[in-house]
Amino acid sequence: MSKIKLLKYLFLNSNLTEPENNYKKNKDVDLETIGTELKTIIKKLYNGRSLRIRAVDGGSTNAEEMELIALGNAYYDIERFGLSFVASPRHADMLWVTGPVTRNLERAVKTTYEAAPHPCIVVAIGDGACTGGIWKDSYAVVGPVESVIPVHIKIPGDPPSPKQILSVILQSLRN
Amino acid sequence: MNTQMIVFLIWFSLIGSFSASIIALLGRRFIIQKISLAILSIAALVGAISSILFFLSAQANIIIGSSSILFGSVFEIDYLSALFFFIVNTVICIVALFSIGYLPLYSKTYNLQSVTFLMALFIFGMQLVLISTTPISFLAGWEIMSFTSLFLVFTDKQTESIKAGLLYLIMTHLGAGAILASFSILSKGLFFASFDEISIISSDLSIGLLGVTFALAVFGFGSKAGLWPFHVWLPEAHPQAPSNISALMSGVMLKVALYGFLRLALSVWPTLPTGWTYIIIFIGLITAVYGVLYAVVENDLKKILAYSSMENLGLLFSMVGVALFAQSINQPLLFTTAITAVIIHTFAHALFKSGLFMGAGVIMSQAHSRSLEVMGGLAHYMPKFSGLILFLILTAVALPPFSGFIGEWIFLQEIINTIISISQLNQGLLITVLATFSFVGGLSIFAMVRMFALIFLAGSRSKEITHAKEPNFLLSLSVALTVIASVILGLGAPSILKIIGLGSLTINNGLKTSLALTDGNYNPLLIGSLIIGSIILVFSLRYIFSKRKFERAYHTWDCGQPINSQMEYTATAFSAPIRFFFNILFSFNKKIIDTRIIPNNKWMISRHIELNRKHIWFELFYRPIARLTLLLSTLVRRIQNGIIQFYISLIVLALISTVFLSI
Amino acid sequence: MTIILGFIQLVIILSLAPFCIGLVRFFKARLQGRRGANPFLSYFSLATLMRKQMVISTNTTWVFRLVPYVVLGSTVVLAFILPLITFGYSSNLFVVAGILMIGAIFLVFGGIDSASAFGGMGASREMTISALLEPTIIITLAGFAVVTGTSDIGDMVAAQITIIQTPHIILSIGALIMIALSENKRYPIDNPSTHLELTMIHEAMVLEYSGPYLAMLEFASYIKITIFALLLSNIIWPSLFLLESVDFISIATIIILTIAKLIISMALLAFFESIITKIRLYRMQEYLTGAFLLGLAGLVIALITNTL
Repeated sequence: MSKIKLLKYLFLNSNLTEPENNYKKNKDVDLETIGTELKTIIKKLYNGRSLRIRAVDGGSTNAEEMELIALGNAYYDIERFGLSFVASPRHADMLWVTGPVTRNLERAVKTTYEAAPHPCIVVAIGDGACTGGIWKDSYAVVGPVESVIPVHIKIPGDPPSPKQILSVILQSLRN
Repeated sequence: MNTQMIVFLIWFSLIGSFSASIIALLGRRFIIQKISLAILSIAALVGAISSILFFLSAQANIIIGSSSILFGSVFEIDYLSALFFFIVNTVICIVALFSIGYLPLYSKTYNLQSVTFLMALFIFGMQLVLISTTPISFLAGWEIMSFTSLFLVFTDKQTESIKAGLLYLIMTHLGAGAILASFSILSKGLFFASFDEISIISSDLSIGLLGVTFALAVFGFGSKAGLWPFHVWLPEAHPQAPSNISALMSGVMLKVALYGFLRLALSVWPTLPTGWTYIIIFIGLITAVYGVLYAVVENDLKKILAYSSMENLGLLFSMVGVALFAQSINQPLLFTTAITAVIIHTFAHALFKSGLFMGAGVIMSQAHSRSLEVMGGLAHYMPKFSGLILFLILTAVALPPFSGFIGEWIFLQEIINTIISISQLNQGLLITVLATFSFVGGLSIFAMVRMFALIFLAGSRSKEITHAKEPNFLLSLSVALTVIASVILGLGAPSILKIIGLGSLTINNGLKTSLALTDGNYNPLLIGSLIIGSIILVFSLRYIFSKRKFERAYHTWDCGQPINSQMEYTATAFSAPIRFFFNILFSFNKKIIDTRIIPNNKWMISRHIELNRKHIWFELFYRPIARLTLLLSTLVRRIQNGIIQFYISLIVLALISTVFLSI
Repeated sequence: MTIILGFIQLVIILSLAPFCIGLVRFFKARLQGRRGANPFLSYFSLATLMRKQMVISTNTTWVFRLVPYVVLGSTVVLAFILPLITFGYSSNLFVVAGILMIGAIFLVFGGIDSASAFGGMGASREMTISALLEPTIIITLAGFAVVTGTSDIGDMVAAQITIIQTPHIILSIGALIMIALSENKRYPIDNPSTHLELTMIHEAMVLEYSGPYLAMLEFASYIKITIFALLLSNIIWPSLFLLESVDFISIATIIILTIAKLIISMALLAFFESIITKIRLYRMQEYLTGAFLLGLAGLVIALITNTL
């Protein structure tokens, strides 16, 4: 009996996962995108129905990475939006770059961008990636992601919550 | 008319190869060697054509002539020898062509005059073996073949070659001795009787003596063919010869050994007891497994090919074993199919293995090494040549629709068809054969794919590779010819069998069988066209769905840290899982050696790993025999005390005992 | 006629393959308590990839570009000749094993040619598993051949053997399931959704591919899993309903039936994958030997019952 209950819970209800509209109609996010270029890219990629993400660590505190990991759990479930993480930039349609780009990881960020087939959407996640955050103008830091590779979407926050990340991504994809 | 034509062509071929060896002696200038090799090639071509004419004439046998030097031995060509004459000559023709382009590259390492001379004589010996009908001429040809190939192993005069050559000398002459003994028991001392007569003479031999001849023949021909446990010389000697000679040794000489065994089995011996055929099958299967396992872990390019030859000869001998087994349990269909499979696979192996050895010669001339560890990326510099080798590899790994597949396919298919209708012990045997064949097939794919991938693909691991160039026209042509012949054999096997199936094989007890496919389902052409068709379909679909050629070159994904070709997966690493799974058979020794960088600091050390492989079989079997021989000879040496009277008394003793024995 | 049926089968298989992999992902997500992606998402993934740029490593040779065509081509041949929706077309068991191997070999070439250690590692593992799986495939199919008296897989399915009539066939079916799992690089051989390069087998070989080439390789793996799912369901539940004539009603029925088969088999696969773990590479030999012994036992028992 308990098994049937479990199957019913797994297949018929979706209690745990947050409804889609929480992200798509979430007003309290500050959307900052580079309009026209992003639009053409998304149009090319079938309106972003199925996008593969390569996460690149540009020298973050790992706070952002924790949030990215949370995106895959049952509560946020990033896969239902057709987004998935992949193991190689060659497969990627999107690069999610976290952290201010440190001098040691500058090459990594650059080569990842070069290695990814274009068109490729670059998302800067977290304050560090958007502006440099508290490490701005440090001698060990090159600067925000923008100063190394072109950025299309910025998601501020230190770190941004998974909900924020998903809202921004979905709204900019679906606009 | 036709008969005379065939006789004339075979004489032409024989005299051609013999005169080629004489011409080679005329002078040291390379133009003379070129002429000699060209004559050799033409002679072999004529020989191949003559055997095709023989198949078309559908005669049982044609007497070519007799020789008074060899005590009136009669030479004739019959169905079995024509099959092998064709295979051998086709390969020789291509290899001789290759040698014209290949030998000048090594004019400093080898004495070209002697190589050409020995090669021509070697070929003459093999041709002689195939057309002789008496033990005496058979053995004469056999010895010419053995001795010339022995000297060819020595040609580069390296210590390693001389060591390998001596091992070869011992094994091949023990083998020749065994063959001689086997023949003399069978013919009761009548060396000048033909094989057909010997068959009648030996029909009243007791089963014990027949068993002795069987054991001697298995040892004699098996040691030449590199069968386990007499194989030790093969992976040492084959790679040491120049590559064109390796191609001949692996592609042709091993086939001559197979021919000798088939000749005895089919036209001299009566139907063998079932138990004896088990022995051939198991020796063959063990050889195949042994060969393929070592081919997988070996890093030396030519040794991989030599082990792969061992594997293929093992498969061929177990096919022969199954054929004899089928004969003994009276399954004519399985017998015919197995013999057909033997012939097809022999031809396929002769072609692809000589092609691969020639390819190895070209690769070594560019990479200046035989080790897989320093190669890689050759396909950048010789794309056309790598394409040819890719075809040969696909043939070698027995995949549809290439020629290596056909023989194994019809053989295994017939086993599955037969297996239901025989007794349970024999079912067990056939299941073992089936399982081992597919196991060996799988691992041979591993070995060949590893070889190709690590030589030709990815980045280059040494500087020499980056200077590699496409080989010259003659070299490419001869490798391409083996590819073309393999593809034709693969796709056209049923039609080729129709042509050569015209004649029929006479087996010892007067039965006749013709080579034919017993099942109508074999259609390699269909499979080939399906595969090609679907690749074309995929190709066109891809261009329909994404038309633009929209690509960019960038270096390999490196996770952000620069990488170079030294970080690629190596040959040793590639075979690691197999080495691990079968370590009990290899007994690899992994040793981690620490050396301190600063003598009194035990924390800063550089480490390197040594991987040693023990030749278990050599240690277990040959080492004790060698020790025993040494012990016996030290005992015998005591007799040798330097006193003349003692020697004379020994001679007298020997004479007296002989007299007593003869009374 | 068989050729027309073959083409119909090919078209149906090719169009259902992405749906099939979408199903298994969907079921797995549900079993993990997630909502999961739309089962039809794979169509968009492939379409997106087809539109994208390709980045080709400078270290690769011409073989790298040949690989996707041969890999996809070999699976297309299998989709054409095997008895999946129709009774197939000249599918001798040795030929099928050989064609499976052609795909594996070229994938290995692609892996090595990428010139990265990950590619080589995946290639080495793939080659080991394919090579050691070869005897299992042949012995298992030989077991079916003995039971049904034919070596053609199409005729094997047409022979309508059932577990009830010949219960010992269950051993061969077990071996075939193990073959299917390892040929498709599913659990417990490989984790298809891993991001950790050191544990990868299939994924590691395609790490260097991008754009249309990647789409082709992924499509080939989708087709392969569809083929194995349908073949297994046709053998386990002898299908009386395979397509034999070309008319609208029978084609419509067969499509519905095929989708039902796929849904059931993918649900079972997802369930199976959710309850077991991946095995360590150096324990793979135990799995492969187990599969071999199962197939051998199937063959031996089939032979014994045949002579009884």
